[in-house]
Amino acid sequence: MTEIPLLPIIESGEILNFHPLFSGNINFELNNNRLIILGGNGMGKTTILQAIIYCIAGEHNSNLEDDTSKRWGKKFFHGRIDNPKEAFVSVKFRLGKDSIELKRSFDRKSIIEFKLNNDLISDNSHIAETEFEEYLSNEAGYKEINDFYFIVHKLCYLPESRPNLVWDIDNQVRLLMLLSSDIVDEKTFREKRALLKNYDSEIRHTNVDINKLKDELENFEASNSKKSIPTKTEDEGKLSNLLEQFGKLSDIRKSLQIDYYKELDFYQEVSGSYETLQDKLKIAEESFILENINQLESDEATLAIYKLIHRKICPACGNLNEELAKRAKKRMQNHECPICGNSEQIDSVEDLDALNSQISEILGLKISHEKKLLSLENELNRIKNSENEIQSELNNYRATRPRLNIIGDVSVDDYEQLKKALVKAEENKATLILMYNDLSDEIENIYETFSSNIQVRINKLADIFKEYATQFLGIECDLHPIKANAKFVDLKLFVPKFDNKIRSTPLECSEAQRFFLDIAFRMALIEFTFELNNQFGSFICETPENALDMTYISNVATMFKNFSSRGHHFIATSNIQVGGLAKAMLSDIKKKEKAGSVLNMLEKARLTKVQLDSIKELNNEVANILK
Amino acid sequence: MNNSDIIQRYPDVIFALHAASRYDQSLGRIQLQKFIYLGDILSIIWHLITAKEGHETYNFGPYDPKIQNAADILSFRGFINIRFLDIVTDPNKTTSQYSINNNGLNFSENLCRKQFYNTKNHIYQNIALNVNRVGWGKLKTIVYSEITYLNEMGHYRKIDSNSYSGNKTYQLLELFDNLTSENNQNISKENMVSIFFKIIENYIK
Repeated sequence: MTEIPLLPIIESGEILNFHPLFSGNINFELNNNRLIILGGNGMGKTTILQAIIYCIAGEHNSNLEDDTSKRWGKKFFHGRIDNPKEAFVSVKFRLGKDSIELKRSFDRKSIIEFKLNNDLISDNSHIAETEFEEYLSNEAGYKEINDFYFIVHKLCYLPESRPNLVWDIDNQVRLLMLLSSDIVDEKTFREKRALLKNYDSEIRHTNVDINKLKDELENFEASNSKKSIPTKTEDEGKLSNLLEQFGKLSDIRKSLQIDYYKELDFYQEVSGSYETLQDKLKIAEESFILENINQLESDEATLAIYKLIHRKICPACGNLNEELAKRAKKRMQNHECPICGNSEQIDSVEDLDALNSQISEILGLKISHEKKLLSLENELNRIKNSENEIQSELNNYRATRPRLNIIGDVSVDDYEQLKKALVKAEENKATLILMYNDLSDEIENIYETFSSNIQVRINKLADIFKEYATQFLGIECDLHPIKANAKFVDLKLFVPKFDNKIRSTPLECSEAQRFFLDIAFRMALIEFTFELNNQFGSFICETPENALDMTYISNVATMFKNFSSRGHHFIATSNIQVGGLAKAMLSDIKKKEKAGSVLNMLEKARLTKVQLDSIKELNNEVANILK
Repeated sequence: MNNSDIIQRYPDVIFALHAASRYDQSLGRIQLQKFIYLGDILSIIWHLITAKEGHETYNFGPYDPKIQNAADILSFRGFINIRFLDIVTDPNKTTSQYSINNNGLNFSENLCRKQFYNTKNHIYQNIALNVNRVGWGKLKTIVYSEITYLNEMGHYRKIDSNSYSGNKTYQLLELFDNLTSENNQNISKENMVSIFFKIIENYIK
């Protein structure tokens, strides 16, 4: 089995008894790695995409989406079908080398039939889903079925609402982690983040309690000012001193952590450039060394290869061998090893000394950031040790003082009890802060390890994104890491950068840029997965065609065609309109094969009167698209 | 290990043997490994990067199989000489000694037309000067006393001599440099190498 999750490669499918929206059954196949669903308003293009996703990955429910307004499920289809019990969708797709066929009804959300390599595994709705889950975890690199559903819904599908993945930190991190499951356990990371959020919430609630108790005490003191109020005991003084020190250390630690992660960002950026230069230097070195060896071997009569080429003497046995000499000479001319024919890198365009001077400078920078990081790390450890010492003293205090049981009862009006309740609340807060800090450290460590282990992969992802995004924009567009606006943990978000400007939010892009750079990012992630597991994937796209002006049509089509030419599959919707995307998306296919890559909704959907009145023009345009 | 990784080690083998030849020394297989290990560890002083995937920390000292492959190829192609010697204590075993020949010297000269290799050559010459002072027979002991190796010994890890955190010798030498730079007396790179050997000498006495 693979450690990297396999993405579905959609091959064909059918939607049965979906009346009255569709007059007959819908059958589709992806020929030439693509399917263009061609239709007008209300003809059911979106419904077909959603049915395909629903079949493969079920409902878009609370496991996948926090925002209730963005969830959808089987009920979405009910308004469009007469009899949900009789309507079905089935999709055939590949996961790696296995052929999968899933079937769902629109009446119940679970899988009702699961076939693996044409063998029926189960047609019992209670078992089929469990069988499929077992298959995913044993053979397809998924820890659980929800991970598969998440990837299909969030990566492989761009729905009509077009949520941006490229600016969505939570989904981006979750996807990158799921696609790198050989490096990190995404679920553990997510659960720990959720727990950290709970701790934070508890700390804030405890703060409210403390403030309430302090108010109560002040009121009590004010109304009893003439009476004698007990002073702090020695123990209480020590305790409040410890809590104060603990608070100060926590503040220092937070500030150091901010510095540390800032420095880490710099260091990782420099390390990325360093590694790129290091690879270039290696190529330049190889080229220069081999060029020199070849030169010496052409000139120096005592060298073995010279003897082979010029005197036809075998370097191993010393006998004359014309055939060997001829072959060796030809290989040398082709920049190959004269003996075994392996190709040799002797065409580097980079100057070795120029590269060396760049890399020396970067190495200096890298060392200086490393030094700062080490020093901050030491300082953080020192603070952590001090915190632990105080925590240990607090524990001693707790163990030795008399036990009290008056937590949270702020209505008590007895002065002593109020004071004790306050101490208890402050202790709770200190404990929570310590737990929060420990967990925060643990999460930062997991993310940090993940982040540094994935660096080379991210460079690859950035290269792929650059290719797709530049194809769309027509100008160079990079993928740039920024500090994400994520709560509780410092995370990196990867966003587009073009025209020398980092686009930290979608608002810094036009509508078309927003949609299509996001599509470029999804395609890059699918291609990135291929780089890891050598298996293709699919992209199902509710094409935001209306956001495009005609000058970008060709660029967008090139991006899609490039994606499919690599071996990935895509399903995209397109309007029947003059100069629309569909024709450009099919331009690399032979004329007689074009119809096989199109699902013509004019033939499948129930048309409105307006559409029926223009049916001739619509059919003419479809014919033009297929020309 | 691919071909490029081995080719990247050719200059190291050539310069190491060239530097040793100045003191009429040929190097055994293990000595060659250890000599180049010192080159890897000390090159960072010049901010000169070394092989990306370098030595590993085996129980019997740091070892990089690419060096042995590079030496064998250079020997086959005629740039270095290899001499097999019988081991006195065991008549069934032989050991090999590598030395540079005229073709290797020409190769070295050609490489040094680039500043990058000229600096690399200079580093090996510096190391040879110091090893010669301590004694060529102590090459293995010197490496076994080097702090980066001591720190990683037995962990079967790749040593990243190009990084500050991975290269403990550099951290130590930087400390000396920082101490003296407080009096505006920066230590030259060559003197840093000498200090390294002085520390080791003191340690192995």
